[in-house]
Amino acid sequence: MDLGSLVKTLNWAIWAALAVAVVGSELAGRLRLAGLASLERLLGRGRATVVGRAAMVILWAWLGWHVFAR
Amino acid sequence: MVLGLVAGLTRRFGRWTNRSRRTRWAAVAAVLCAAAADAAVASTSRPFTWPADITTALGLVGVVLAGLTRLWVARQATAPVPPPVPPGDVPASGGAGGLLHPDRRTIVLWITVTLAVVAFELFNYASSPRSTHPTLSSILNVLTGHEVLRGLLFATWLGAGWWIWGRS
Repeated sequence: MDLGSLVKTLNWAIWAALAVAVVGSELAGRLRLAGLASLERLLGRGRATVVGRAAMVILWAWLGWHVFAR
Repeated sequence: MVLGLVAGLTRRFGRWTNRSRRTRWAAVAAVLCAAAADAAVASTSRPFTWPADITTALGLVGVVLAGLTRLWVARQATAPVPPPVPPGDVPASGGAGGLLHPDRRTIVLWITVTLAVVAFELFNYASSPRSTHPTLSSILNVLTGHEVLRGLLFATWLGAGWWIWGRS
C-alpha cells in the first residue's frame, strides 16, 4: 500500500470514528447514561431564546442551500 | 330553559372544537404532503441547476412561513402564566431531573465532539487532493448523488427546520 492510499484510508477511518462519536454521544444522551443529555435537548435550550432560534434558522438555511442547491 | 340554553351552548362549543381540530389536522396533512412533494422533486434535481435552486428555496421559505405560523398559533393558544412558586415548594414536574438543564458534562462532551469534527474538516479542506482528504461537503456530494438518498436527506433537512420552530 502506497502512502497516498494509507493517508486516504486513515482519513476515512477518522471520519468513521467521528461519526461513531457523534452517534454514541447522542445515544448516551437519549439513554441518559452518566447523566448526559441528548443533543436535541441541548439545542432545545438554545431554541428557547429568539437569538438562539434565529441562529439555528440561519445555520439550517445555509446548510440546506450549500448541500442541495450550490 | 336555562338548562336547554347550556346544553345548546355545549353542543355548539363541541362542534366548534371538533372543527378546529379537523382544521388543524388538515393543515398538518397539507404541510406534510407539500414537504413530501418538494422532497420528491428535489431528489431528481442536481446542484447548480434551476430546479435545485427552486426546490430548495421553496422548502426554505415554506418551512420558515409554516414555522412562524406554528409559533403564532402556539402563542394564541398559550395558557395564562401560573403564579410564581413560593420558595421551598417543589415544582410538580421537571424540577429535580435536570432534563431541562443539560449539565456541564453534556456541554463539554458536545463542544469536544463538535471541535473535533470542525478541526478535522478544516484540516481536510486545506489539504489536497480531495479524493484523499474528503470533507463533509464532498462526502455529502457522494450521498446526494443517489436520488433516493438525496430525497431522504432533503426530507430530513425539512424536518430539522420544522423542529427548530417547535416549542422549547
